[in-house]
Amino acid sequence: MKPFFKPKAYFRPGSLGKAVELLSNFGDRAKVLAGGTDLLVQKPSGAECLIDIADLGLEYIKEHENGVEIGAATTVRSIGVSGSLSSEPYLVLRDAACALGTPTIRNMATIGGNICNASPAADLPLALMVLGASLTIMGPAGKREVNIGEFFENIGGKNIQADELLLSINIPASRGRCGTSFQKLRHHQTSIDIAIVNVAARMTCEKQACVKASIALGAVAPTPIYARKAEALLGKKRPNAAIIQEAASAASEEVNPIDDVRGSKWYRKKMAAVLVRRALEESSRRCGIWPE
Amino acid sequence: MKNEFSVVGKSVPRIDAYDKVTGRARYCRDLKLEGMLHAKLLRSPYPHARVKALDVSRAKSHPAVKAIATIEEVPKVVGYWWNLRTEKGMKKMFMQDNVVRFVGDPVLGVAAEDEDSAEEALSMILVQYEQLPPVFDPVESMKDQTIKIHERGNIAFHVLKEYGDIEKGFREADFVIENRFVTSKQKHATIEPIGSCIADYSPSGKLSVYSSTQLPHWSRMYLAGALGLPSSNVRIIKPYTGGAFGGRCGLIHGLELMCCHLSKKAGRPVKMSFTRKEDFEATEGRHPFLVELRTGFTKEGILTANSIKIVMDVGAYATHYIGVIADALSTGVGLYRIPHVKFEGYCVYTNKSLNGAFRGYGNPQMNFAQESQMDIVAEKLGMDPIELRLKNYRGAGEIDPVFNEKILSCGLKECLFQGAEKIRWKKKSRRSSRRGKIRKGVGMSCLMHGTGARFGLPDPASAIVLINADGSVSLETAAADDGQGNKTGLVQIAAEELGIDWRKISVSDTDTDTTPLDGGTHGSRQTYCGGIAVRKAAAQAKKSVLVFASKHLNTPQNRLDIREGVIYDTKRPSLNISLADLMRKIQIEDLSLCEQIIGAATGVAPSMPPTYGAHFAEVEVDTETGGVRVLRLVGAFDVGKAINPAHIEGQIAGGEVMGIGYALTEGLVIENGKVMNSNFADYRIPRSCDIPRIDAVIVESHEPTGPFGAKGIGEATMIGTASAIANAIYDAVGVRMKELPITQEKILVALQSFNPP
Repeated sequence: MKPFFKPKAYFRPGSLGKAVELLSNFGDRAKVLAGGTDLLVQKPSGAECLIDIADLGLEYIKEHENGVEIGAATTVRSIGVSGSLSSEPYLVLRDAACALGTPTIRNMATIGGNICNASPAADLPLALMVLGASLTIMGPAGKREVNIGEFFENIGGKNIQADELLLSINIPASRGRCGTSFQKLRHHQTSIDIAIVNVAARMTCEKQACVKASIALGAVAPTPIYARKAEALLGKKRPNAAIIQEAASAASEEVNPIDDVRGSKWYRKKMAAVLVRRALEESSRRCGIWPE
Repeated sequence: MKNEFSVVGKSVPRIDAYDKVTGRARYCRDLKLEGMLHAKLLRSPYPHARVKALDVSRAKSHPAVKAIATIEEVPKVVGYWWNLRTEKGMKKMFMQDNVVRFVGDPVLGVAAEDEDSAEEALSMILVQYEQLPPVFDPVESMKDQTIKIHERGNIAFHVLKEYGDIEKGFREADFVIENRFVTSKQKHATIEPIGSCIADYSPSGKLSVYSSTQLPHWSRMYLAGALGLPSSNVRIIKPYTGGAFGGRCGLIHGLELMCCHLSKKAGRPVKMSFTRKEDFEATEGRHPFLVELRTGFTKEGILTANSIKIVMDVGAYATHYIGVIADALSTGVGLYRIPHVKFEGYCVYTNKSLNGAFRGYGNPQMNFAQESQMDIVAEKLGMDPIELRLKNYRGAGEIDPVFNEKILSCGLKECLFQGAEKIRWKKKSRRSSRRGKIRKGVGMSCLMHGTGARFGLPDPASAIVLINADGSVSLETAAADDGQGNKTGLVQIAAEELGIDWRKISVSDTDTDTTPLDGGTHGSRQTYCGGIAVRKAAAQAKKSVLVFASKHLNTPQNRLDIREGVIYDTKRPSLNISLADLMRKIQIEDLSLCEQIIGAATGVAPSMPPTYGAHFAEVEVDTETGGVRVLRLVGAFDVGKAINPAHIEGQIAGGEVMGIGYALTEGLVIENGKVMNSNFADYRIPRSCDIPRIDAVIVESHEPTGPFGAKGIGEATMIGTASAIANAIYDAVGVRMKELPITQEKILVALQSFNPP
């Protein structure tokens, strides 16, 4: 591995049109540079040029009546400290942002990068999945919307073309009372490691009952996944310890982790259950329906 | 006594602080010489193979390539400075063949105008390998008669020592317990990756090597021996070094000798710097140990017998191995007063990257087994673990059976008392209520570690003190500073002895052309061994000063002393002259003298005094995930005398942190000979955010043979951390972790079989 990454060209377009034009011209040979915390470490050999999106005005968090819109170049730190995200249902996103990497990484890394790098262990996509977020992507033919749940394909694969650029993430406002949670178990027992299992959960409640639950898990399959069977077990009931445990066990049956240097399949499955349980307990606590 | 010192015992700032903080310090990787070439290694993809044929023709025709040197030309170093003692030993020190013995073993080196070209040339080389069957497990390797990693078999060394009558010891015991412990291959993880040098082989026959070695003088002799040069023709220059911890305790496999050969061929200086990945995959690590202990003890808590059996994984080549097993012996037999001990050790080759010197040198492995075993004994007896240690440790005045030497200073009891007090042991230990998902526990361990290598290896130290005409002092020593600050400590020792301001003393660069013989910076020895030499040289210089002063002041020499740079009559202090004035007079002013004051000392230290210490840990275990958080550490160490307390505190903090890694996260994962975690994401050392409060307790027992009473500290600080943490985990959740590193997954497995759901 070369000590330094030496692409031949670097562009910093000032408009979206110019950015998309550059992407169309270079195709696979170009890489989008945002915070660089993944790209500059990976140093992909095929990347001849870098297209820096710093000047495209994509760094913002906008509240509106239908929810929140976040620019793709918004840093993870900004999300972690944003006042717009300091109440439900957005706490899951804030907590995921605060659990990602280190303070120095969070200062550089962006939400768009965390999505587009498409790591199965990424933190923010899980939160966005339970929030039902959609992505606005721009290409030569204009803009399109894609649901975050349909974005990830296989390992590292994603529903975005080489000539397209992720512009923003749109999170719909919540209808009803919500409680969310983000849980992460790190590779080593150290504060900043990559997840060996991470979980986001959200409950929507009416009175004392959970009317809808959403659970997403990372690092336990080739892509981030929803635990649909576990979600179904929670519907329309007041959650109690037995129901939550049942859902947690169901979730651990839905995952398909690998054995690797970071953890065994056995351990990951076990931990999926523990983390889902903790996420559901915290979600229901934040909903005001826990403990029973 | 303490108050009499002017600078010893004070935390003066580091003499290298300014250069390091401002970025002026230049490390080997920063250096550039005129006309310098850059080298890269072609490394074996196989764990065991014979190189049948090498086609370098295409690489040779690369316009930027200036030299190629292959495995058939460049010898491998398989020994250490023990071998230097005899001609026969020297011959055994180097081996040359065409076999590669681990994934990453160098096959050849290419020197080119730049690193990229060197790398490009590597891809143009064709190697025909004949793959040989590999063996990775040391126990298998010991038994296997079909796979021979080295000609003389796979057991590099076997030791069997008996003290007393082991069977009698077991008969005298009320209880006998047996346990098996396993330790990991830890890497030094120095801030500057291991493996960087420049060799400049002049056609005139003079060879200069810039290398961040811990052993400038031994390295000079190794290279002279390997290349057939007189030692005087080889010059080792050691620039600033970004940490060593034993990782630079010799020539680096595939580095210096390769650069020398390439430089000789090309007639130009050649630089090579390993990447972090190369450091992880192909330089030495800590020997993994398999330790089987059988311990007998009475119901009163008196140890009667200990049988220790060790299988040590040497890796593909043996450099430091006899010394490492000897240190395990020293601590395994020496720390406790056990009348009947049997120690058996096997050093075994495997087809994995080599292992060598590493802070503690065999002791952390042995300590983990022994101190876990002590905790098990205490548990069995229902005795406080501290009380068990107090009943059995070997103290001052007793004879160390391994070295057959009397222990002159031992502050272990004070370490135990003060450490226990700091962590509030009485309040926290043996908590009866282990409830809840998150449980806390405390644990402790003891240790001893000899200072230097006096009883095992050649261990010289030397110093020259030159007093300049303005009263300033130049100290010449090869006591290499790897970043721990020993040069500052030596300045304090010289200043104290001479009676001058420490700021008036400058220490030479570490350069074998200008500094006398030194045994290197290892074995926690430089404050002690280097300090003894510096103090002697300073005393000699001072004596010469007083001879002149006596004439000048016309007063008897025995009434004179030096304080704050002024030579004065102790009976009549008004009769005095400043050192600067006197020096100017005798060196420059008086045309009949023109004499510089030179003090010189060389030789071996009188002893190898053990440093004693106790570690205390408080942890929190998540019983659902197995995750451990270290909440607090206390390290209490008997250093004889703290020359510079801030340095000692720094060593304690650093050692404890390294010990957390050894306990919980660190260890190379090697699958079929391939290192699976050769980066800091997967090989995890503790980060600043993982480090708990660490209290340093300094105990001063005053070692009579040491300079101002000092003995070593560097290695001791990490030796018992893992043991204390493992014992704290037991205290918290009741599972005995016998294999390092203690990962969260291993704890969970243990918890589930201990407490089935």
